[in-house]
Amino acid sequence: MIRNRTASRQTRALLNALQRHPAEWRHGYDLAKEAGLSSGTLYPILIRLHERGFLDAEWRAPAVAGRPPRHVYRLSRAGLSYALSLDQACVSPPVGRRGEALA
Amino acid sequence: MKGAGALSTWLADQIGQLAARRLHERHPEWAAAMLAEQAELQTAPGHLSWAFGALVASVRATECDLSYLGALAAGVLAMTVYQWTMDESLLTVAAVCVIGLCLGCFKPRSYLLSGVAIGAVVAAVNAFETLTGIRPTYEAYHHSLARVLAFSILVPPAVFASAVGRRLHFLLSG
Repeated sequence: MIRNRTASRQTRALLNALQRHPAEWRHGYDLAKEAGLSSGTLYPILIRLHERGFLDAEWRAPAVAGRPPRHVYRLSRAGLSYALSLDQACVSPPVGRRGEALA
Repeated sequence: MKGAGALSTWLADQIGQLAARRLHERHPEWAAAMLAEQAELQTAPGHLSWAFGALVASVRATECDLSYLGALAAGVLAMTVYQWTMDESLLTVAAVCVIGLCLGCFKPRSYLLSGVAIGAVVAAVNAFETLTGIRPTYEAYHHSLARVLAFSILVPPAVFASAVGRRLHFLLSG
């Protein structure tokens, strides 16, 4: 079973990078550069997001002949709403125990 | 400097391959994705650190198979108890082989580790006896260091049994 944990800072950075151009397919290297992540952090997050259905992934033909096809990513519909919900959680005012806004 | 560049490309390639092999069993598509990205970055700055990162990713994404670690610990414990309570005989070889076979079948990817760990138990127990002087009651003589080392001869049959278990796993899973 996949736990619905709070997103880490790195996951948020990656979601932000993906969210910036939601319709665009992105390469791992571009995403790592934009989100400021190393490949060692990037891939486990990509795998997790994909397993939770938040990420679409597909293979693209190489730009240069002789190179292997490249894996590209973009947020799925569910991933986009997840990213938006995280954004809202960040900007919404703190909430008291009974659900009323404290601010 | 051309030689250094070629060497770092070769090294990055080897590390990338290792990372992909580690990841392949659980996430074959992602292993291929990492390799493809690696091939694309051959001339990019930081391709070596990208390869190291891929290796870290492969460890993180497949980390901590607790069920295997538990099985390995149980196997080592069973072998230790057996060795502590019984004198060495042909049955010891059989016990090593049976436990090695079971572990190889349980976790084919780690057959080498399983075989070495189980095969080394007898030598380890005897080394413990030699170094500490704590011995089971039936033991009438002291093991010499040479005799302790000689018991590492059980490692190859254990690795072989584990490799057979690995083969068995693939046969059974089609």
